[in-house]
Amino acid sequence: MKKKMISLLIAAMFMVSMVGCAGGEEPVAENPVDEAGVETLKVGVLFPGSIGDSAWNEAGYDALVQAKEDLGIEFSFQESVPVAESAEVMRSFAYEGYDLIIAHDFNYNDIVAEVAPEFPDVMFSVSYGYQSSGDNVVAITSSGWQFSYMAGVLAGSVSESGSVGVLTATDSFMGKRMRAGYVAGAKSVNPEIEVLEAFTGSWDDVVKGKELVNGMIQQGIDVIFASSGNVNVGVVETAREAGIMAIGSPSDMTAVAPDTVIASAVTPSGIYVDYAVREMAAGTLKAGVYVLGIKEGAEALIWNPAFEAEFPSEVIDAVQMAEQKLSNGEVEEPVVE
Amino acid sequence: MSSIDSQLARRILRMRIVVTCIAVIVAFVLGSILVLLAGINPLMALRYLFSGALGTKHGIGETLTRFVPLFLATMSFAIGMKVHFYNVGIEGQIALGSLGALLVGIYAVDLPAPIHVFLSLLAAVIFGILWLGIAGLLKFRFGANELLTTVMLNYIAVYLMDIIVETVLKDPNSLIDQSQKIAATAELPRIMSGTTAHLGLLIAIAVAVVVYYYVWRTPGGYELRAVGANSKAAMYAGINPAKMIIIGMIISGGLAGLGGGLNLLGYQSRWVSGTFLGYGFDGIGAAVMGQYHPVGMALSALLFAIIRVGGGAMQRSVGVPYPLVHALQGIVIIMVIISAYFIEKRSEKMMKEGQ
Repeated sequence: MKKKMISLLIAAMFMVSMVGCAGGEEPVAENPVDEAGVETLKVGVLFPGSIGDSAWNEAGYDALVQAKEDLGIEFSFQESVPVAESAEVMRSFAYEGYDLIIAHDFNYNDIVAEVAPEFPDVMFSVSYGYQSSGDNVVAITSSGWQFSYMAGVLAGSVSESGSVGVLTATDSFMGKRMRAGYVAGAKSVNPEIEVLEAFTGSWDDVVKGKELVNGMIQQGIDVIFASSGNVNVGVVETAREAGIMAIGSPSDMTAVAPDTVIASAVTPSGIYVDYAVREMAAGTLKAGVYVLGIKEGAEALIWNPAFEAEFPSEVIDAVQMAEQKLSNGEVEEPVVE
Repeated sequence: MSSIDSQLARRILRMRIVVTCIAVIVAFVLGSILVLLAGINPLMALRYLFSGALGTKHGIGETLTRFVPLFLATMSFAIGMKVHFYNVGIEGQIALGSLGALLVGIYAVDLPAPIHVFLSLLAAVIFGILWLGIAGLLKFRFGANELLTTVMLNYIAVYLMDIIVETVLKDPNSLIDQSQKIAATAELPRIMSGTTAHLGLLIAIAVAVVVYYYVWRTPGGYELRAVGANSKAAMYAGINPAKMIIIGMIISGGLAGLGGGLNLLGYQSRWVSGTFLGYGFDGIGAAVMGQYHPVGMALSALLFAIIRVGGGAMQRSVGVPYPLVHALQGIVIIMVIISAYFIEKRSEKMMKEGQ
């Protein structure tokens, strides 16, 4: 009986390894060819988090699905890839015959720089990347300040107390640049305006965020721009409780508090995937850093329709003018200390 | 008399292996049910799991790199168990070991490669021992339960690494919160061209062999195991239990630190903020599964490495969500622990019958 068990087990393990090794040599997958004889574009994507996150990752995934509908591309992806594991995933995609590998997070930028040279025939794109390290590396990013500039223009235009606030998640270069954009926007409509700045130091610490905003409210702000990740909902709540106005981000937060959120400064993050795939499909994706902003739709200010209807025309005009100026490149990027 | 005993021992060992294998197979079956519920063909998923990890040269290389810290983690836990020190702080010791190797790797420049590597690994081992030593000190001085202290030290270690890498060691040339890369002279060479498999594999195996030899084949090691088995009896036999426990802890912490160091010098080359390797926790499960014997633990570590690497292939090819891969690992560990219960019961029965 024991002997039979052992033989059975060994046989089972052999079978499993046979199945496994049926993979064979390096799989250089053939691109499926459609009726017109054109090879289908294969896109492999690395997501830093879950595609069900209703934010960064899901936007990227939705863009992929849309591209598949519109262009007939094939795609495959891996979720929740930590930076430490990303090199292996990129190499696997490359060996599996993918034409375009999108690393959907700027944290992957340096790893892409390492891996891309090993696969010169594969195109690599880093969403929100900051550096193109080679002929097959593309970094697609947003200005990082134009959307907060718009928020600042709006805040400066509607503030009655003459004091507005902004809360970011970090004090990193990006956080500072975001806040600098807000300050510049607010001052462009009201040079006397007071802008209070704070950063939570976390993407999730709602309690801390609320404390900081309350502190600013006590100092007299009547508009708060929430740009601190998952803390934003807490910020909007605090604004509602205090009866002040809030501008949300990075997606439309009108539904969170329809009487408090006057607009949202959005950064639709699907655009980085969308841009890379469409350019690749059109054969025009070249190495380099692409900075997308208000003009390309990578950043925008979305009104809460109720407030848009209520605000005086000067406010609407100010925002529209700011949008035009940004699109025409007439606004200088704010200097970050 | 003694031949009957050794025959019984061999039968019991066979039984342990069989039951453990059954546990793994049951775990895969349960995992397959989950995959099926997700709407995916489990046989296809399994096929990609193994072909992703073993079916290509690239996959095999990646599997072998994961194996290095996993295997050393199992050895670390097992040696700790031998002296009844529940070292569940391996994750933290691996992180500290990585830090030691990172510091020497970055700053001790202008050294010939072999010396640079050696010093970096030495730092890794020392840092691992010192980190475990904190828990040891708390235990000996205040009677603090190491199950709690070592676990808490894991979190402290991981957050400490984040802080260090965001401030003191932050790479000035990078926008990302990560350390500089170690110098080229500190990097472990690749052993399989075209893959990431590195010399750490051979170093880990060599060290494991030496430790195995010491613990299982020398009088010093015998004393160590005696203290773990029955410290009072060992004391009457003239063995100093405290000394042996400390030696056991040093080996345990050192192995974990070495695992971190080899992984850093051979695979990672730098530390990125927010890195959570997970080898420490997986290693504990693999140690239990391997019945605390180096060969069994090596096989278990290999299986865990396969699941890690192949899990990615499962998602890329048939869309199995990555969290399911973690679930599969968890199911394997649970089944192994359940099987340990059955193994104990059956061992007792077999030993009674054997008499």
